[in-house]
Amino acid sequence: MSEANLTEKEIKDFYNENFERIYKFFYFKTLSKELAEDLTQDTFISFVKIVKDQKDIENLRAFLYGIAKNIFLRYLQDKYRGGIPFSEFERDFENYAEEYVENIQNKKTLEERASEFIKYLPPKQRLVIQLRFIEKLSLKEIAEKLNKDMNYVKTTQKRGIANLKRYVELGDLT
Amino acid sequence: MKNKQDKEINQFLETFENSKSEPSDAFRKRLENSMVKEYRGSSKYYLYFKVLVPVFLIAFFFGISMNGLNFGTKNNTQQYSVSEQRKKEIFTKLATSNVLTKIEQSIATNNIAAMSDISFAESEQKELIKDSSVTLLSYPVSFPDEPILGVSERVTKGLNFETCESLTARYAGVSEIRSYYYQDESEEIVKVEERVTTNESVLGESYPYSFPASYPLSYAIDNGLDILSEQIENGNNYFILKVEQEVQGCSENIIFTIKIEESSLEFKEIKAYSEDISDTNLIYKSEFEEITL
Repeated sequence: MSEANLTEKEIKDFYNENFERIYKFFYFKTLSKELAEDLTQDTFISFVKIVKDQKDIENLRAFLYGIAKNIFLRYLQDKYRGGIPFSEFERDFENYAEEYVENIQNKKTLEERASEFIKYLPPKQRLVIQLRFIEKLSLKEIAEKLNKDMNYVKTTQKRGIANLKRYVELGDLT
Repeated sequence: MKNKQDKEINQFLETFENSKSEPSDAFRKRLENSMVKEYRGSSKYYLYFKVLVPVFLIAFFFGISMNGLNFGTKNNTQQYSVSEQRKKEIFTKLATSNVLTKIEQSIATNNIAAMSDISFAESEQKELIKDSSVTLLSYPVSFPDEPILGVSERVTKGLNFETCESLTARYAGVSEIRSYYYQDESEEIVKVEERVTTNESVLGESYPYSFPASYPLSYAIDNGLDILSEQIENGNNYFILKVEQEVQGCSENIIFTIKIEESSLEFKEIKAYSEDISDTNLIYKSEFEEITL
């Protein structure tokens, strides 16, 4: 086994420099604390397994983000059965991840953050979700406004939220 | 919180809160310890790794090579995963031909209907589809009953794109005039209508792709076109193109695999699967020679 390049302290420092951003990227993509933890853990453990035995990695940070990208793509492929546009992450993933987190955090209100994704919804789901998010109407008020029954509004809202979660994972905010 | 729906909305919004996005200290510390522990890891496992894995890989590839040199009577097929670079090459090649247009035409209404007439290899599959809740989205994969005096009855499972609920249309017709019987999930007929053209609204609602309708390949290209694998079969190179259809946010998936010969860019076979790609989910299969493009 070859000697590793980094000391334990350097590994810890590197971890602490990058942990939060990696974790937040996964969190704002999956909107799940558990999934974010799993993906973050996979990323750093995979990283250290390679780094401890490989001397010639020039840019550790780029290497880490490369691993994060692969782990996230694998997660998406498993979840969406491979049906993801593979151009999405082809560009500089490191910058993409950073911009993505910053873009969300720069939004002032929760509605503003969520609204980024509403535009991707099919028209009727978009309308119902906008009325709920933006105009803060109740289900009953929306049903009256659209001249639909409550079941329609409930179903459409449910579908809309499910789709929003999907768009957050697959979508491109930057 | 007034009700379950309010809770759902609020839960979704709350996931964007800064406080929710903060990692826990316990997790941070735990992962740091795991990393350090992994970094210190015993070298003997790596010795095994370095010695045994290459031996295994050499044996594995040697086995493949031997198999590849077997010119016996077995079907000589080797399948390879496709690198990103190779995918780019293939897509470049596709983009400079009219293959994608051909795929769109092939999967469009008339050819799918024509294909389904001839393509159900197993009668059990036909029954499976009849009895299952498989939703076939916006295009008609039909299974005609016995034609009576030139009139064929077809059943199409469609999807309401607004609610993502499936809907069945039974129709019988001669030429372009068809009677449609729309049924809900409980098989209750909810509407009967006769139409000459088929790309109109359904049940009074206007859908982007009413059924029967053409397969929206342009959507698929943006959202679900991929190359599953590359295959060498009896000396000919094919690539297996996957087109996954997931329309208007509805999660029902029909996955097409289209086998294309690389040298001529001709279709050799098309299969459609519901969700997972496995033999049990095969909806139809067709040799492309039988289809007029």
